[in-house]
Amino acid sequence: MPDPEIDGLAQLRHDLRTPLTVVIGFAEILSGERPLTDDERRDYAERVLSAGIEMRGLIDSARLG
Amino acid sequence: MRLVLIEDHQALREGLELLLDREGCSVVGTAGTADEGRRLVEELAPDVALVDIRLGEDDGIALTRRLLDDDPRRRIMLYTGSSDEELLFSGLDSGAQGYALKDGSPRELVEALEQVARGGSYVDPRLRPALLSRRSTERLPSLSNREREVLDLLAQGLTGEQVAERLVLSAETIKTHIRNAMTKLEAHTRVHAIAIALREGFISPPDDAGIGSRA
Repeated sequence: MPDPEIDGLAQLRHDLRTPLTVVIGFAEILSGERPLTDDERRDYAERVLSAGIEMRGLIDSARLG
Repeated sequence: MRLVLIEDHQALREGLELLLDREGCSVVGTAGTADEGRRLVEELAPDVALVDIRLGEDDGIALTRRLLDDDPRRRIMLYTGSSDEELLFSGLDSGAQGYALKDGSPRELVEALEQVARGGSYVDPRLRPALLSRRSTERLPSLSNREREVLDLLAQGLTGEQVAERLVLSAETIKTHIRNAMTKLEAHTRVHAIAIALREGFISPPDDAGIGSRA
């Protein structure tokens, strides 16, 4: 018999990976050594922010058990 | 390297386009659905198509099968956030030459894509435990020493020609060994054969990152 809590956690884990890839990818650029323009820096920071907000939404709406 | 990116998550699609571009990869087209992706691959004939496995309502593995049925010369890298074992084997069964996880860095992804574009294959090294833990309930016919040796070298990233050179055999002989190993292991592709051989313990995992073959 499948455990709904385990299923929910597995789904959440999977769903979080996509926005997490965005967060890590752009955070790496922002913390890297290559020079960025102000517009690029703002654009990348906004992408990190919106992916973070998406992750929070996923966690808030996760139905575990 | 010309790439078509098929990913339903808009932020990741746009983000990857930028990130891969910064790593020197030319993203010539992006799509968020299987239909649009198929059209782009047909139209643009990229060196590699990066295909998300879960494309909203669509299925990236089914899309891969379709693209390869239409033209087996196409190079496809499946991309997923899931390290699920069944999904991995289903993905390899589809004929995709690469299987990458979203956990990897953009640089790592570009290197894997380049490997696939050059005619090789790639399985994310993070999937090694899944490859190794799966034990088939059916006993597969054993490989000959030479077949093991060939698959082992392919798994280390050598091309078919380099394997031939290393073993002082002709390229045709190597191809025959690979074909025989694939038949015995019921594998559809070389990378699938490597994955099964690892899983069954016929060969050892390579030491370096990524299970790959440029053959």
